[in-house]
Amino acid sequence: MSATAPPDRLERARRELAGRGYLTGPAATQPGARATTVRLALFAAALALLLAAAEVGSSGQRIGFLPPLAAGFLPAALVAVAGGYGLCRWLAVAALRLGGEPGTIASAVGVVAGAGPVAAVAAMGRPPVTGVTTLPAVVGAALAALGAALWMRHHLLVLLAFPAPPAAGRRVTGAIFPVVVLGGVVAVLALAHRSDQPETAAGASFPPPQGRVAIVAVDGLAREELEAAADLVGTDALRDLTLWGWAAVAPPRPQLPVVFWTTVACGVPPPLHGITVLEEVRLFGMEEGVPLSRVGRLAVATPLQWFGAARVLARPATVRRRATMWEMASRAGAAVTVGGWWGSWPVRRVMGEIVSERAWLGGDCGRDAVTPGLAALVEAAWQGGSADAAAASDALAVRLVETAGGVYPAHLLALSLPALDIERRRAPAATPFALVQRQLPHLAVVDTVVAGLRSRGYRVWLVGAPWHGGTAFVASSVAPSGRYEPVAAEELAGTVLDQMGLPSPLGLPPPRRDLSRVTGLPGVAQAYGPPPPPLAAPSARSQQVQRDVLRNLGYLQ
Amino acid sequence: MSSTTRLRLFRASPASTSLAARLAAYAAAVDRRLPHHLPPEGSGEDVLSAAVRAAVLSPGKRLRPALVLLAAEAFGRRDEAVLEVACVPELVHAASLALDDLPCMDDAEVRRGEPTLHRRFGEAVAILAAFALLARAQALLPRALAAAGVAPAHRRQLEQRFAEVIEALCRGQVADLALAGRGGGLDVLERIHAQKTGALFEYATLLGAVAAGARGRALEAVLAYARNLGLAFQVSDDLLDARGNAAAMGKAAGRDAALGRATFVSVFGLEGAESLCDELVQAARRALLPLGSAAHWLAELAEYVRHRTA
Repeated sequence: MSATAPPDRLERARRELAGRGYLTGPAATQPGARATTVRLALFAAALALLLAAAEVGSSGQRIGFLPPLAAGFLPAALVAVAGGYGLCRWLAVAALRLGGEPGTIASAVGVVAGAGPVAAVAAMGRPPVTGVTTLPAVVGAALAALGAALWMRHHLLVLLAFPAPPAAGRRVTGAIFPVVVLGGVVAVLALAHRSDQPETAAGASFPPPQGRVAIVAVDGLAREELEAAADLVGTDALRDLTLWGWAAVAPPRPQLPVVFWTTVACGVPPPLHGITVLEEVRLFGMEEGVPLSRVGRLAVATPLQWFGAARVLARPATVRRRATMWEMASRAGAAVTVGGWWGSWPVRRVMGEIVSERAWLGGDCGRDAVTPGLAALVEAAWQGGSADAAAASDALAVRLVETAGGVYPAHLLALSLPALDIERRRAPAATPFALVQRQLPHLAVVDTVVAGLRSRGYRVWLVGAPWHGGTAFVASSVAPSGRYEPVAAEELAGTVLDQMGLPSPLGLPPPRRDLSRVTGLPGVAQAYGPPPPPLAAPSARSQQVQRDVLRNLGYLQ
Repeated sequence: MSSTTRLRLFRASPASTSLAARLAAYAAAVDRRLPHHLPPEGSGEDVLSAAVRAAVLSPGKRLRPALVLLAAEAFGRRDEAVLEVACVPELVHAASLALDDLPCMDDAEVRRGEPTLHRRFGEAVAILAAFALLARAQALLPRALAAAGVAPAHRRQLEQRFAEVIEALCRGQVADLALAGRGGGLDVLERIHAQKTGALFEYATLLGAVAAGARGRALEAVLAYARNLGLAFQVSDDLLDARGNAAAMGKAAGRDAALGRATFVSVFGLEGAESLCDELVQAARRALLPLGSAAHWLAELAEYVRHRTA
């Protein structure tokens, strides 16, 4: 036995022992409480980004909304992730106490954790805009679910089992977080670049418009109700109306009046025209609002409102990306008059006059709500603001029909009659008899308006859109009696312009000449360009009031 | 002594300010508890019971039960239920000593300052007593774990590990016997002692920590501690044997050299072995760092192993 060993032998021994797990601390495979906290915070950030991307992508908003929205989602995401983690841990420990195996428990609870992000995205509801822009939400939710499930499974195995599971799996799950975050951001950035802007109409020349066309939107009217009302009201005009050729209309999603009527007006689906909701949320004092899903409202708007960092306002059509039929007709040289059409606020520069839904439903006479030529008309119909929306909109419609034939001889008249729908929204529990009693005066107005338009030489399109069940329909005063092939809401704008002798707008469906009875070769499709600029931007105050109006009328819960 | 008094003494021990006092209190508590898991003292004709009792109740350091108790204490648990769990490794240890000392193995004459079991009761009885002790340990384990509130899945894992530890002890002994009279390098030494000594050290620590609810990184930390401590204990054993204080050790000194058996001292020399022992103790202490001051007594135990004289 020697008293000492050569230093190199001792050094070799140290290395050898270290290789067998001695002389070192525990293998650095197990995250401590701090590391877990950091991971949870990272996951919350990823979840906030995912939800923000889902909101931005599904409503077709600008990428600029992503950072404030993600910041808005972060507190709720932190709470949700912390709560979810605590719940999963509790579930796992309880299952262990009941005799479960750590591996099985970890896998099962991992699935529960994975369901969290999917549930959060699913709870947002079907997005108003479907298509490629919803990919970030779908892919992000799938990645987040995978990451959460794998991480939670491994974490619980570490927590419940011994020996601890090998570290190999952790490296994979650890990498999921940056993948989720980066993947989400890249996807949103890629998809946020929209290439569906309408072409400009520089240098375009249009033939002169031929004759007069009116399109009357009757909110809340089903085809079946029209036929019943014709017997009930008993006027010639309504009876005559039931004899027009008609076709069912497939409404677009989401089934909101503003979405449907804007789709009818623009001839493109909601993802293209951009009007999908009635409300928007302004975060952190931003100039522009963003529409949010139910989850977004609950997780972002509600808590931030407590601190004055968010405001929920009515969403004006400033965000509309496509021109309406009256804007296209105006660009082609036709005089237009618009009354109360959803998506017409703020009013835009056209050849003619516009009373937006802001003035139609709320009596506002501001520059954003009504063109100067019709401000007095609104003022009179609303009797200084004391009238009721259903009655006022009826009165305005009747007055516009009168003026359209006289002072403002419009080639295109687009009128909205929302009274039937307003009555139904105001009294959802009313018996059918009571409801009919309330609606009868408004049906009489439909009768008056149609009769007035016909007497002034208008070819009339009547579009009924029930929101309570029943058949949405379009009837044409020039189409022989009978039921025609169903019409898509997007087909009407091009059909109306075609009936006015104007070329079909580029990118819109071909006109339905079976209903318009137009003959001859259709002209070459032409670009009408983007919507004209608004006359004035709606103020936040105006948006606030409009939201109250819509809420009072039953359009918002 | 009544159970109330035992409980009081066990609970009073944490107030002790030195590790030696704490270990003594724990040893005393374990010594009082162990007879409950042994056959009762009977007539002189029941030689197996007498051998079993002698194997377990001979004065010992009770280091393995202390590891159970200190590991549990590091995670905030200190109660009678853990004391029951602590008896398991001591029963196993007593069985392993009885077998180690047999003529066909180490052929030891003195153990814990007394004649070895086979000297007193004969080889056959010593072997059978070892079997009986292992059976008692195996029977006690699930009962003690259940009483300590360990989750069923963890109980099953610990029972499985128990079997693995017993097999490791056997494999370590076989390797040790194969090495007798022949030199060996570090790899052989480490393998033997990891199985003969380290396995039970780690298992004792695991029992205490799991009974106290330790998981994850904290559990890894105490297991890394136990691994280093086990080897340090063996190196210090070799050092004690080489220095040759038989009275203090309670067994014959210099036996390893006499048998030509490889030891850490024979491979690395006294200074080298001391240096390795120091480093292993330091590594054991470092492993406890994530646990903070809760593991103070475990860290002190590592120092105790390094500087022990018996």
